This record gives sequence, structure tokens and C-alpha cells, in this order.
Amino acid sequence: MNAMDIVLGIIGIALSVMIFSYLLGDNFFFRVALYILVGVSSGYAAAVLLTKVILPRLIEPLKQSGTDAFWLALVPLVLCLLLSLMLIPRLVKAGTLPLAFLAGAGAAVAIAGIPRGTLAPQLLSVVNRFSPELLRENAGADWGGILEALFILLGVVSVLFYFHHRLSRKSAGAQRPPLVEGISSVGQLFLGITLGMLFVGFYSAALTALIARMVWLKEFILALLTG
Amino acid sequence: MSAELILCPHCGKENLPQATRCVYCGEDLEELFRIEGVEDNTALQDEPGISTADLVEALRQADSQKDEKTGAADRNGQNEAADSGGETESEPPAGEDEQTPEWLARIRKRAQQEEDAAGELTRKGSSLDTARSEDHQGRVDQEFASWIARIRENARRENLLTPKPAADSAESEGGVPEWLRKVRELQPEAEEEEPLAEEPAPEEAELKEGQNDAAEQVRAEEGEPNKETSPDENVWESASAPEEALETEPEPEPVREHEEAAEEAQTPAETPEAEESAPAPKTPELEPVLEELGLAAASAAVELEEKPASSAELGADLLLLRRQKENAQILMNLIGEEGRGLPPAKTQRVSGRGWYRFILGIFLLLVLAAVLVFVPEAKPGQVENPAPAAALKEALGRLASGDKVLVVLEYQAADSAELEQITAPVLKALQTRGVEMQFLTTHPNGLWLADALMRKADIPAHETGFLAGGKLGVLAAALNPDGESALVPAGVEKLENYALILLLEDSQMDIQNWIEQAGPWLSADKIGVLASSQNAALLLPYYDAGQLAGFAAGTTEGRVLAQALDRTDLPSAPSRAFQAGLLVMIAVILLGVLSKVEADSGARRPKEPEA
Amino acid sequence: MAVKKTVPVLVAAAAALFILAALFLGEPLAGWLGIVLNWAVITASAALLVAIAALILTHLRNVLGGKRGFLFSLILISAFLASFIGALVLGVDNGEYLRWVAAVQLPLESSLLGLAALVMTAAALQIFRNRGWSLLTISFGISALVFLVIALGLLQALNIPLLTAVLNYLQRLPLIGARGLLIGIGLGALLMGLRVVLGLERPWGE
Repeated sequence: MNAMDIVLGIIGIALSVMIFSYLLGDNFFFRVALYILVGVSSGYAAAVLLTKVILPRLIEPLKQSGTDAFWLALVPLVLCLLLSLMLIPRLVKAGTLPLAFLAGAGAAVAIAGIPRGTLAPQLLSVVNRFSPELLRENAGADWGGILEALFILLGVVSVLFYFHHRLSRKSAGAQRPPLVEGISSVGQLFLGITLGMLFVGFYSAALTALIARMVWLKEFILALLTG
Repeated sequence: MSAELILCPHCGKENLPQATRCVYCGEDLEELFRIEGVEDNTALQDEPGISTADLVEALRQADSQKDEKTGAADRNGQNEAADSGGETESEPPAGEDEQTPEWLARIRKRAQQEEDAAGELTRKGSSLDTARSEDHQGRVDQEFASWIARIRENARRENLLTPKPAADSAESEGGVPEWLRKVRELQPEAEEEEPLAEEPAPEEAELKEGQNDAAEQVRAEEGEPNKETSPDENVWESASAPEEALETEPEPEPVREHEEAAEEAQTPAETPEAEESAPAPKTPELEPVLEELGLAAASAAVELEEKPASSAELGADLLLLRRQKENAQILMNLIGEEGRGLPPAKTQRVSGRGWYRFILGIFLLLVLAAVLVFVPEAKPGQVENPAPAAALKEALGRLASGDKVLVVLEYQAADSAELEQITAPVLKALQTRGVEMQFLTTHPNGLWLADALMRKADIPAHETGFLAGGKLGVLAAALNPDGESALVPAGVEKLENYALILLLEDSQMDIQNWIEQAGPWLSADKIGVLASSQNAALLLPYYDAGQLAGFAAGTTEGRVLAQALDRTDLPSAPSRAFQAGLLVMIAVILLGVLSKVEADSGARRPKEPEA
Repeated sequence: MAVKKTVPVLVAAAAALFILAALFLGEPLAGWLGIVLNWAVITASAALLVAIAALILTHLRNVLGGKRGFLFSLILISAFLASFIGALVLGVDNGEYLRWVAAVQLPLESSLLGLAALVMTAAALQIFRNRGWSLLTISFGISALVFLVIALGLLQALNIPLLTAVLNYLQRLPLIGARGLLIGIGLGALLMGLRVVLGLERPWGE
């Protein structure tokens, strides 16, 4: 272990302790650590964006005057200049045009991608379980499969029902019919199961990170002691 | 008893010493409680359930009770006390100055001399008032009014059914009101200089001791802090705790218990020998109100059960005592707060939560540390992975030498430990098999995380490309027909050319970007995912719909996958510590369930007697 | 004034319609689609840079104005400058530079996530007291306990075929709720996209 390793290790320990000091409540050291994190990560991200995107894709083509790349780079140049005007408080409105362009592009990509990537496959995977072809392939009715398919259908519909009627009840505040209430309850049940798994998943991830930090600390101390 | 009565300077009639207004003419008797900036509490007068006729009737009733008491005292030969009382009664109002305690005089003098100090007092009083919300105050008033009605009804019934000699006011000990005693405790020198309390007559003292003893017995039955606590009182004790104070409203049911306790306490014959050290009965009627207002002491809940004055007196005195008690309490608070800043109302609550978070956090850390240091790592057994992980293993198994795999890093540094544990054996296995790997990242941090991953996997360093633009970038990569798009880093080919696109993920949004933007352009079994355990639930539907070749999430599945790929040579995460952490969480959830069940049953119990 | 409001809506709609048309029509517009996507990626990167610059300017104003908490602002600016200038001088791919970045970011980020485990432990104790009993909380609690036990891996190690089948079935149960969640989220995002294209939603502000 060389001197640099030791210095970096001590920095790591100090920063970890500052973060864990949050157990005593929000305090000066915890905040310092957070501000350091924001500062370092934003500085690094800015440098990467500048060197990996802006310079090669915007500045380089602009150096080749008269070429197609040059003319095509003028559009993002104007958009970037308008965006940078947003830093001047009086000219904040100048940024609406590039932001509108970005919003439009993002919306188009979502409109094209979500139905094909999520909605259609997910809905079809529910519906296809009742496909006559599937029944034919199984040489008769696979009652177990059909039961499971019904179960999944009921679950998905009830979860969607729960979402929808939760929102409508919030807005209207009206009493819901018993059938709607019942289906929503089933939806709550399935949603609770999923949220339980998500909770365990997130806790497992956090626990792994915590253990990894402790293992690192243990190994660093052992390395220091053994030289 | 009559010795304690004071005369109204305006109409000349008798009033209780605690009264701030004359019960006959309504004039102020005590100027002290007029604190500038503190609003008069008129909620009681505004209460629709209490009419003026009720008030007058209640006061008359109180008057007749006092007459009865005086008569009873005379009959019992308490002439000495009565005489001294007569002397006090005959004193003109001017003599009030002589009776004023030293501390009171000092406060008045200071308020007159120092305008700033008075302003400070006023500000604090105002801030205390502001602390009470209108809604909260409304609830308290409503509760108070219904309470008064019940007590009055009970008193009437009691008068009709069981007429008995009136006991002395329980709100005073030796003729000294409870609030005054507390103030004296804060001002010991004032008490020494000018003692106000007069020794009660022997019989009266005996009677009082009997009451005190009864109250002590009630307290013993119902639980003082150092004694066995009954479940009913648990509710009240918990209600007095700072965290629960705002959530728990005083229910009417305990009032009935309180009345029963009062009845018990009023029968000295049934009480055991008196004890010198028995604490004086206080004014329990007001405690819940003060508690609601946040002015009660922490022990107020226990005091609720103490013996009140004669039930008949309650109706009359209560109306005046309430404001009086509030004023006294405010004054006490002000004296206590002199020279101190007002703490924010929520500080105590937050720090309370902070402490149990701290304790649980330290406990978990200690458990993990102990397991890491003392428990040896067990050899992993042969375990079968869930279907998605098994499917991924098959997809990886189909890769042959020369096949191209695009490894896409989309995780943050926070999850690097978990993702490296899962991914390193897979990369090592692919490297050993001669699979050609290319690395791509959509996060700036992925550039240095890729280096760490390659070191961990013990494979030669590869260059990592940066794909900017999020889902726009992914779409551009998917639409890159000839592999020469300016958007895609050099070296990255058309996506369909890869035998597998292996996503290393800790973000659902990034996974969906690839499935929604690149998935529709690719054949079904092109995308495999190695993910953090937090993504497992939301990856299931995509696998079930046939959009993924497979996925493995979390270190447990990663370990099994490594075993299946025969890559157990790389150091893995300590599974024992992980299991210990999970066990702690199981225990904590069960503890949370139990505490909720206990809280529910505790809340139900006081309602059962009424039912 | 109306023109000022209309132009961004038209720009957003035009960009969206062009990309959609290129995606569905394919070849005739494929070349132009790449160009427009390139513009969008550059603009998105520039927007991120502007956001970072705005952050730094705000903290710079805090420092210069001596506002409350300016010390934290000073720390943030120092960290930013060290990281940014270091990258420009040494290069973002420089090994030594990346080592320093990793030495700061890795402990901070993983400690924050580790802290989440500690905080979650404390939160789990209060979850039922705070949220009360409902079908959602009860199913959540039971599900959490079941998946914690499964995550222990002890039951799988028993290698009992019936138990393994049951565990596999239990692990598939969240699929139903997750599918509902994904469809719900997808529908919401789709509607939002359509509202932007139709000019009913203006995320760029007015």
C-alpha cells in the first residue's frame, strides 16, 4: 500500500463517517459531504459532456466551414446559444425554444416506444394466454394455465382499477359502488405484494452497499496494520 | 374554609380565593392575570351548550354548597378556623397588598419598571397562544363543555341521591392552590419570607389526609410512574408523551373513571391510615385541557385520576378555574422560560425519532460488524436459481468463441458493489470462453466504473464508449444501420450484430429505455439483464412477455449464476452478513406489527367499560 | 404575445411529428432522423451543462453575498472546480484523475445507500403505526416478510422439490402487480407525450 492509497483510503473513511453521522440527525458534516458529492459529480459530468459531446459533435463540425457538417451544426449551435442565454435572469425566456424542441423530441420517442415496448407486449402477454392456438397446441384445455391466466388478468385489471378509482375518488370524493370497491381491494392486494418485493429489493441493495463499505473498511485497516 | 374566601372589592360578596372574577358581579379580582398580549379565552362563553342560566344556576349551587360546608365546619367545632377566616373576610380589599406574595410583588414591580421585560413576557405569552391552532382549541373547548355538562349532571344526581358532608376543596393543600404551590417551588425565598398557608383545623386536616390517602390509593391502583401501571392509564400516559400528545384526544370515558375515583376518595372511612407524604390533590378537571393545549406537565396524565373537590363545587368553580388555571400555567411557563429561548414545537418530536433511528442503526451496524469479524463464510450449496436467472444462464451458455457481446453499464457508484459481485463472474466466464466484449455506458460515471469492474472481473481493460442522450441516444444506437452514426461511439456496431446485449442496471428507467427504444428493433432473445435486487420485481413482466433473454438480480442470484458458470474463484460478497441484515429487518417488521397490535388493543380497552 | 406562446408549441409539435413520421415511414426520412436526433442529443447535453452552470452561479452568488450557508456553497464550488479543472487539464480518461474521482464519489454514494439501509430499518418499525391497517399495508407486510425469508436463501438450500416449486410460484406473484404498474405508468407517460405534441402540456414553461 503506497502513500497515495493511504491518503485516498483516509479520505474515503472520513467521507463515509460524515455520511453516517446522519444517524445523529442532519448535521454540518453530513451536509458538507453532500455538497462535496454534488460538486465533484457535477464537475465530472460537465467535463465529460463537454469533452465527449459538445466538442466532437458541435465544435469540431463548426471548424470545417462550408461542409454539410458545418451547416448542420449551426442548428444545434443556435439552440445551445439560446439555452445559454437562460443564465442571464432577464433572458430566461430565450430558452423556451430549445426546451420545446427537446420536449417534442422526447414526447415523440415516448409515443413511439411505450406502446411497442411496454403496452402492447404486456397486454398481449395477458391476452395470448387465452389464445385458441395455445389450446390447440396443448391438445385441449390446460385448465391450470387458464386458471393462472385468469388470475393474472384479474390481478392486472384490478390494479389498474385501483389506480383509476383512487384518482377519481380523490378528485370527486364520491362513494364508490361495492363492485368497484371490491375490485380495487383486490388491486390493493396485488399492489401490496409487488411493493413488498420492491421494498425487500431496495433494502437488499442498500444492505449490500453497507456491507461492502464495512468490508472495505475492514480490509483497509488490516492492510494498514500489516503494512 | 371560610378563612380562604375573599371579598369582591366591587360588590363585597364572597368569592373563592382562586377566582379571578367575582362570581356575582363579574368584576376582576386579580389584576395579575391580565397579561398583555394574551387573549382572553372566551371559548367557554361561546360554547352553545352552556347558557347563562346554567352558569347562574351552577354558581348558586356552589354557593349553597359552601354554606353547607361552613355550617358543617361550625357544627364540628372548627371555631378557630372559622374565626380566623372571619378575620380574613372582614379585611378590606386594601389588605390585598399585604397578602401579595413577595414574588408576585417583584414581578409586578419589574413589569412596571421594565417595559422591555414586560414586552418579552408578552411576546412569549403570545407565542404560546399562537402555538395553539384554532382547530385544536375548538376541539378542546368542545370536549371541555361536554365534560362540564357530565360533571354537573353527575353532581346533581349525587346531591339528590347521597347527600353527605362536603369535603374541603381538593384543589388546595393547606389552603394553597396547586398552581401557587408550583410557583412557590420556583420561588422558594418568597415562600420563606411570607407564608400564606394557614394550618387547617385538626378535623379538617384529618379529612384532607383521608382524601389524600384515598387519592394515593387510587393512584396506587391506577399506577404512578414507579408503580404497576394499569392498561387504561397506559393510554393516558402515552397521550402525555410528546410524540403522541397531538394525536390523542382526551376521551370522555376516563372522566367517568375520574368521577368514580372521586367518589371513592370522598369516603374517608374506607381509606387506610393517612400518610404524611401523600401528594396534595390537584385540580384534575383542568389537566386534560392543559394537556391538549400543550401546557400540562408530563405527569399530568396520572394526576387526572386524582380526587376532585366535592362534585357539587365542580360545576361552579370549574368555569372560573379554567381560565385561572390557564393563566397560572402560562405564568408558570413564563417564569420558567425567563432568559431562555422558546424551542420550536417539533424539535422534541424529531429528536425522539432521531434517537430510535440512531439506536436501530447502531444495532444493525454492530450486528453486521460482529458477523463480518466473527462468523466464518460458509461454502455455498448447490441451489437452483429462479426461472429468469436460469434462462439467462442458458443464454450465456449458448455464446461461443467469437460471438460479440455488448456490455452496457448503466449503474451508479452506489450500486457498484452489488453489480460488480453479480457481473464479474459472468464477464470472467465470457472472457475465458473467447467471447468478444465491447463496453458502452450511458452515464458519465460509467467510464471509471467500467475500469473498476474489469479489474474486479480480472479481465483485460477494454475501452468504454460513452453514449449520450439517454433514450434518444439508445434510439439512435438502435437505428444505427451501418454502425457509422455520429451519435454512437466508434466501434459500436449495429445492435442486431451482437449475440447478446448485456445490460448492467440499477435503474428501472434505463432498463425501460433499452426495452422500449431498442427492443422493438431487435429479435426477442437479444437483451439480458444483470440488475440490482431492487429491479427484480419490475423486470418480471418483461421476462414473462418474452422481451428478455433472462435476468439475474441481486447478489444471491448472482452467486448461484457464478456457480452455474463455474466461476467461484472470484471473491464474493459476504453472505452471512447479508443474511444477518435480512434477519434484523424481519425482526424489526415483526416488532413493528406487534407494537401496532399492542397500541390498537391499548386504544380499545378504555372503550370497553363504556360498551 | 400570442406568437411568443405559439412558436414553442409549434416547434415541439414539429419536432415530435417529424420523428414519429421518420420512425413509421422508415427509409425516406431515416437520414434526417439521425440528424434531428443528433441535434436533440447535443441540445440535451447543453441543457445539462446550463443547469450545472446555473447551480454554480447560484452558489457563487451565495458566497459573494455572504448569505446564510455560504460556507456550504463555498465547499460545493471548490469541489466543482477541482473536479472540472482536473478533468480539463488531465483529461477525463486519465487514470490518476479517475482514481481521485472514484475515491471521493464511491465512498459518498455507497455510504448514502448504506445509510438508506439503516434508515429503512428504523422506518420499518413505524410503518404500521404510521399507516395503520389496510389491505395494502397488510399485503405489503406479509409480502415483505415472505420475500425477506426467500432472500435469506435458506429454504432454497434445503433442496426440497415441492418447496422449491412453491418458492418459484411465490416469486412470480409480484408479476401481476408489477404488470399493472408498468401498464399504468406506460399509459400515463404516453398521455403526457400526446399532450405535449398537441400543445396541451408545456413542460418548458411560459
